[in-house]
Formats: sequence, structure tokens, C-alpha cells
Amino acid sequence: MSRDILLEAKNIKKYFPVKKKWFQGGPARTVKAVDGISLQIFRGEALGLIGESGCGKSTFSRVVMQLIPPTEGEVLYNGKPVTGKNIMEFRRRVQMVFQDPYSSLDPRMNVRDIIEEPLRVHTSMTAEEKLAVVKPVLEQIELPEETLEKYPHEFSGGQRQRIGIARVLVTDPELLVCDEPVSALDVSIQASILNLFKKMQKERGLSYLFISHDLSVVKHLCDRIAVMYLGRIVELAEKKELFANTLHPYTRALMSAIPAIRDSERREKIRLQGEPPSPIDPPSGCAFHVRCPYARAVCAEQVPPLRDMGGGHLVACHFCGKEGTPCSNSR
Amino acid sequence: MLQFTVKRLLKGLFCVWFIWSLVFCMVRVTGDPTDWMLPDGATEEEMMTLRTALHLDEPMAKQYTDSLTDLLKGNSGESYYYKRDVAELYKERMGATLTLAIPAFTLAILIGIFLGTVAAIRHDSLIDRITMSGAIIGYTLPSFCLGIILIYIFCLKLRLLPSSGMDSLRNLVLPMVTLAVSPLATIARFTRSALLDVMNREYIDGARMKGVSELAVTIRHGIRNSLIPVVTGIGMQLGTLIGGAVVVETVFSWPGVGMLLVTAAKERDFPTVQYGILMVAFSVNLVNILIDISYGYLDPRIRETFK
Amino acid sequence: MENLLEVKHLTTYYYTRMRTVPAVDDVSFTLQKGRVLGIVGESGCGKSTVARSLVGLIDSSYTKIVRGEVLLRGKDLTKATPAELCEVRGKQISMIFQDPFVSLSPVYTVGDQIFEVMKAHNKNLRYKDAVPAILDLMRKVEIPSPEQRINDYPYQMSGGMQQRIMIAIALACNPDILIADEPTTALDVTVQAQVLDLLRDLQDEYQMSVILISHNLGVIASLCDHIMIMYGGVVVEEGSTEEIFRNPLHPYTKGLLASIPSIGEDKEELYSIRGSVPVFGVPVTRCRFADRCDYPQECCFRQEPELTGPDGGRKIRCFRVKEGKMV
Repeated sequence: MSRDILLEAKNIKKYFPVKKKWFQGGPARTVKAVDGISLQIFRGEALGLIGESGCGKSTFSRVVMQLIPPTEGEVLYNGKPVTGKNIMEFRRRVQMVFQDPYSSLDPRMNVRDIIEEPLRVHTSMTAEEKLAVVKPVLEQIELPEETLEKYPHEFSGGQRQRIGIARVLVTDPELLVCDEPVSALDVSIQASILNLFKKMQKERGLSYLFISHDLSVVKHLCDRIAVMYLGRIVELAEKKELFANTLHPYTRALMSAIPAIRDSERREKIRLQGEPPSPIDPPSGCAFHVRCPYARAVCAEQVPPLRDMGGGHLVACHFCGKEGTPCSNSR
Repeated sequence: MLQFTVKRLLKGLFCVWFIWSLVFCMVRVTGDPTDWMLPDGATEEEMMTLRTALHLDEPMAKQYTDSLTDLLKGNSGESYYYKRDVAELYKERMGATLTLAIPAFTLAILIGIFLGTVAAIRHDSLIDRITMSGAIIGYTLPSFCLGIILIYIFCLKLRLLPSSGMDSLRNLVLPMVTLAVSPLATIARFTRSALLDVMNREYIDGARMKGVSELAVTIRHGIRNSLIPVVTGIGMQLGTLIGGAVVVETVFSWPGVGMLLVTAAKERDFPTVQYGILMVAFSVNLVNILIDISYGYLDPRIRETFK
Repeated sequence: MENLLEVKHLTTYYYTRMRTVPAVDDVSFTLQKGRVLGIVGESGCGKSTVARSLVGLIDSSYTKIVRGEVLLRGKDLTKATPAELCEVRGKQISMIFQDPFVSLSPVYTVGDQIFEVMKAHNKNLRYKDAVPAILDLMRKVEIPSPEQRINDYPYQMSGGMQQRIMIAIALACNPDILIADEPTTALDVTVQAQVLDLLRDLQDEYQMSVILISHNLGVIASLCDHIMIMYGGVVVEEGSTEEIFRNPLHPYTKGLLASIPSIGEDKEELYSIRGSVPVFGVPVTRCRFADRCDYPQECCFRQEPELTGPDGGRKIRCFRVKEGKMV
């Protein structure tokens, strides 16, 4: 079965130069925020992107959204690169949901204006036509009609996030890029927003690129999950496969780090030393080798490529899957 | 750090040169001094002779380059009005101005920071409102106005203090107070808003939780962390101080540099005016450079940008 | 076991222009030596205000403890003078905060800041003499190469390191009680795990009593033996960690547990508590959770239920739960 690729990122690299002083020797330093990521998002699927701070997931999302140009690589939408000709169509069909509900809505616009704005930009609908589109969207996000005349400050964080979601739904998008959309919300509100995302995926056939640092949130929502570390993808698999058969040492450490409430959540204890490194002076070879409990000499020398371990489960590690290695096939 | 200092000094030098050149053009635009340097009834010929002697008949560009080279050689020129070496003139009166300006500025800084701190700690209280209203009056009231009011109250009515001259310490009181009020008011407001902002930060609570007394927390963490905006404000007030010195010296007949400058401007005494402005530009720039460098000591995060 | 800390009917109000908010309303608990108490709740439930009220770290221009006692070894901290509070803070009760980057002063070195708490309780101490103890502390909180890092400024350290420095400051004078207010919320997941491990080890070694405040039930479960769940300023359920997770009774607790996505289970839909946290004014004349509850009865809207249950045991504030069962 060949699945329809909606969006493809091909070897995306994004480097930011660090300003050099005239008397500093050595080569120019760069922040390698994204260092070679290739991903495909299929139509109707939710792809999760997990990583800690500094891993480059936000930068990557902005490259995908065409908000910043990549240093290398390209983004293909429906098989074609995004250029001046099809950028408006792209913006209509690919939308972004942001993390902070308190700063992503213009406080001087009322809710109707906020939600209608994309329609004003992309279509030439009359006021009645716009309202006809907005009303069912309002129902979908479960807010009453009175909401339209109010201003953002009259709403709670969870409600504002819903308004932000309504705003992206009016243009009937195909893909939503969500950058930590529930991280700023309380747990009980988080649940209702996650349920909303799932509902929209079912009802509208929406695809997601869902970025988060929270594995349990991503597990609930996504079909496939990619794990990022210092600008690169270290593991990518279908959800069930990733949790049943976690291969990369970093992913296993991530899972182990989540404090467990229930017994079903308990994992083998793996504690990493040190902190997530800075993208300015990344370690040589495999960026994770400094903190990896299984690191060997080759890990410091060569960058491990992403290998398919079977069934689309990709891992970037020199040793995974080989017989007798610590990270092979155990929970 | 070195690179930063060098760059900053060069910028300062450029600034001083630019101001000097600007003043050079401005004073010459105001008119020919030969008109009133000679007694009435002087002939056209006599005026021509004088102009030639003063090099005022030469093209502007030549006057400029000559003036500049003179300056760089250390020759400050001769005052048209006093007929003496300009640098000498300033040196004589510098003492008087410094005797006035330094205590005034110190007073403004110390009392300004103190009042601002009190207002911030007791914000929204009566004392806060009184100090801040007082501050508004302080910097909106022109200093000559204030000076004359003070003279009226303390010299004419109460007969407590003298109104002019530089004979004793009592002469210093009124001019010093008049000069200090405006910068004091601004420094107080700066301190209050900077401190209020800092006292709301989490590290203040962190310090309190160590068992440090409230007074120590306010000084060691509150004031210390609000020094950068306050020091910036103080630097800006230096300009006000100098302008104020000119006015105050005139009002109180204080024989300082300010009075000299005002007289020279009135009399179209180009060399004196130029040299005076040059000194002002130089000292203000110097103070601001020192302040910029001090940021590195006040906030370690800024040291990173120096590297 | 003797009670180290006894909090009785602590009530703290916020006075705003529009209304008076009972941020903490009639909260009571005890803390024994070596025990770890968790206070759980979402934003606005009052858990941070409880912690701050204990040590008087409240802004008196709009906050006031209107009722209650905080007895530390029998002495009431709510009636303590500022000087007495300074004696207690850092020495008997220490606190670590959520975001270490803003909780450390940016202009002093970490060595200086650790020294500050030592000096506050030992006036004659000199920095030179304190350095060995400071380095020891830094080693204890697992900071690598402390000799080099002692002169670092906070901005030169990562979030995890900064939090360790905060812990070092908190432990410097061997306090009896440590209050940790969302200590890992601002940290990355892998760093969070390290810091939690560290706290656990230190608590074990020093037999310190800890009050851990968090909205993250997992964090609470990993450290605490006794939990208080707060909502709208009151305690709605209390009990041992094991009991509460195994058998939550209060509708809010049940809802909270059901709404958390888990990596161990696969749920089609997460339970979501309807509505949002209302703002209360005084006096409160109904169950604070009634509007969002799935099991409301008429009485819930007419009167506020009492917190019932044995001292130090399982307590619940709900009309519909009697003798450990929903009726």
C-alpha cells in the first residue's frame, strides 16, 4: 500500500552563524540548530517530534512552515517545492498552532476578527459567508456563539488555545504544525485540547506535525514518533513499535525519565549524566556519545546514519540491533 | 574588553570633534564680532584691519582647519573679549565651578538614590506619593526660577544666606541646592522604578529565604541589581548638571566657568565659546565612557559582550 | 512520632480591588521528621501560597494570613517578628523555587550566594574559611569540578546546574524542613529525573522532612509518602500516596488521574474535567468543585463540605463520599 506523502522534508539543515570578533582565531562558529533531517508526513497521519530544549525542534518547525529558509535541503509539499507561486496555497493548507495561548492572539482584535482573519486573507467572502464558515468551527471547538464578540483577555488559557485552533481550522487545512500546544496548560485542560485534536483528526482527516517534549502527550495523539537530539533524528518508529521495542539509548533514557504513577509506566532505570549539550560546540561523531551509557570509540568518531531496523523503525546508532549489544531488543 | 574600550574611545573622540565643529559653524553664523569690539564711529578701514588680524576675512574652510590645527597643537587661542589666553581664563574659574558642581552632584546622587529607595520600598504609601510629586516639581521647575525663589525666601525675607558672591561657605548653600534639585529629582524617579522592578523578581524571595534581613536584601540584591538603569540615569543627568551650572552661576553671580561661557557667547567671543564647549563635550563623553565600562563590572552578563 | 511542623487552619486572603480571594482556606496538616508531604493541584489552587504563608514570604500589600497557626516545634511562625523569621529561614526551613535561573541573583557568583546563607546564620564567618564547606556542598549536589565552578555566575550554568546550586544553598545550614516549589517544572525531562533522584538521595541521607509542591502527579508519586490534593484554596483529599493512586475518592482526584495521558496505557479519549476553575470570593457557600463535578447533588450547591477523616489518615471533602465509598 503506497501512502500519499503530504509533506516531505529533505535533508534540512539550518545553521546560524555566531558573530566573530576580529581578533578571535579559528574558523567561524555556527549554531547547527538542525543538522540534516529528512522526514515524511503522510496524509491523515499525526507525526510526533520529541526532544528536549536545544534539540532544534522549534527551528525545524519554522523551516517546515517556510518562516525561515533552510541553509540546505528543501521542503516539498504534495511533491512540489514551495515557491512564490504556490506559497499562498501552502499557507492556506498548512497552519501552525503555537505554545503560548497568552501571546498568540492579538489582544486588540475580538474573537470574530481573529478567527475570520485567514478568510479575509485567502478568500473574498462576504461577511455572511464568513460567518457561515466560522459558526460550525466554533461548534467544533466547543465554544458558544457569544464568544465571537469578546476579546482574548476575557478567556482562560485553555479557551484561548481553542480560539487559536479555530483560527487555523477556517481555511480547511490539510496539515497542522503544532509547537508544544498544550505545554502551557493545566493538566485537566490539556486533556480536553488533546481530545479536540484527536476529534479533528478523525472528522477532518487532518495531518499533524506535533512537537513536544512530553512523550506521554505525543503517545496519546500520534501515529508515528520521531525523537530528536541536537539537530538530528535519532529514532523514528510507529507508536506501538517505539514503546514496545525502544532501541536508541536516548529514547530509552527519555522513557525512563518520566516519573511513573502506575505500574504499567515503570521502565528500566536509565539515568544520563550531564545536560543536553549546546548546539554551538556539538560533540564529534554521534552527538549523544558523551552521555550514552553504551558509548564506544567509534561513537566519538563517526556520525551514525539512520538505519531501517525493519518495518520502518529507523535508528541512528552504531550498535543497535546487533547481537549482544546492550540496546538490542529489550524494554 | 580591550577592543571594546578602544572602539568606545574612538566613538567618544569622534563625538567631541563633531560637537566642536558644529559649534564652530554655529557661532560664526550668529554674526561678526568686529561690529562691537571697536568703539562706535570706527571706520570701515579699522574694522577691516581688525578682521584681518583675527583671521575672520579668510574663507571658512581655512579658518576651520587653522583653528583645528591650533587646537591639536595645544594652542587654545586668545579671547576676543578678555584679550587673554583662553585656557588660562578657564583654569582660573574651574575651581569655582568644581566647588559648586561636585558637591551638588554628589548630593543629588546620594539623596536621589535614598529617596527613590524609600519610595520604592514603601510604594503606594503617603511618603511615596509625596516624594514622587516633589520629584516632578523638581525637574519641571526651571533652575533660574527656583534660584530666584530661594533668593527671595532666604536672602530677602529671612536674611539667612547671602545671594551672591563666593566669599564663604554660606554662599555655597543656595547655589548648590538649586543646582542639585533637578538631577536629584530624576535620579530619585529612576531609582524608584528600577528598584520596584527588581524587588518583584524571584531572586529577592530567594535571598529572603536564606534568612537575610530585609534591609540587607534590599541593599545587596535590590539596589545592586538596579544599579545599571540608575547609573545610566546618573550619566544622563551630567548634561543637565552642566547646563544647570551655567544658569545657576549667572543667577547667583558665582564666578565660575558657566558665567564665563555665557558672557563669551553674548560677546561673540568665538575662541572662548569653542574651548568651553570643547571641555564640556570632552568631560561628558569621558563620564559616559566610564559608565559604559562600569556596566561590565555591574552586570557580569554584559562582560560576555565585551569579549 | 513528634510533629516537627503543625499547621492549623491556615487561611490566607488576597485582597484585590474587585474581591477578596480565599487563596488558602482552612488548611491543616502535620509533618514529622523524615516524612515527605506532597501538595498537588493545578494553577490557582493555592499550593504555592500555602508554602509561602508558612515562612511569611507573602507580599503584605495585598496578602494577609487572616487565621491559623504554623507551629514549628511549638513556636507560631505567623506571629513571629521579622528577625525571628530570618532566624528560621535558611536554617530550620529552606525553600527551593521553580525556575532556578530567576531565583539566583545574576550579579553574584554561585560561591558568594552559597556563602550568603551560611553568613546569615553565622555572622563571623569569612568567605575564605567557608570555601571548603561550599565545595563540599557542591560535590554533594553532584556538580562536577566544583573548584572551577565556584566562581561562575548563574548565567554561565545550565538549568540543571542552577537548580543544584539552589539545593546546595537550601541545604547549607542543615535545615529540618525543605520546601520544594515545583523544583523540576522548568527543567528538561532527563535533567528532571536526575534532580529528583538527587532530592531523594539527599532526603534519605539527611532524613530531612520535605514539602513537595507540584502539579505533576508523577513527580509527586516518585518522592512523597503522603499527599494533599488542593482545589480552589482548600484540601479536597488527603492520604498516603499509595492509597490515593490506588483508590482516589474525590471526584476531582479521579478526574485528574483520568485526564493524564500515560505511556503505559492506550486510551482512545482522555477524561476531561468540564469547565474551568472559577474565581472565588469570600465567603464560599458551596462545594468549590460542584460546577465541574460529575456527581453533584443539591447539597453540594448549598453548603461547603467539611474535610472529614482521621488525623494523619485518609481525609476527604465531599458530601457524597462516606466511609471510603461514594454514596
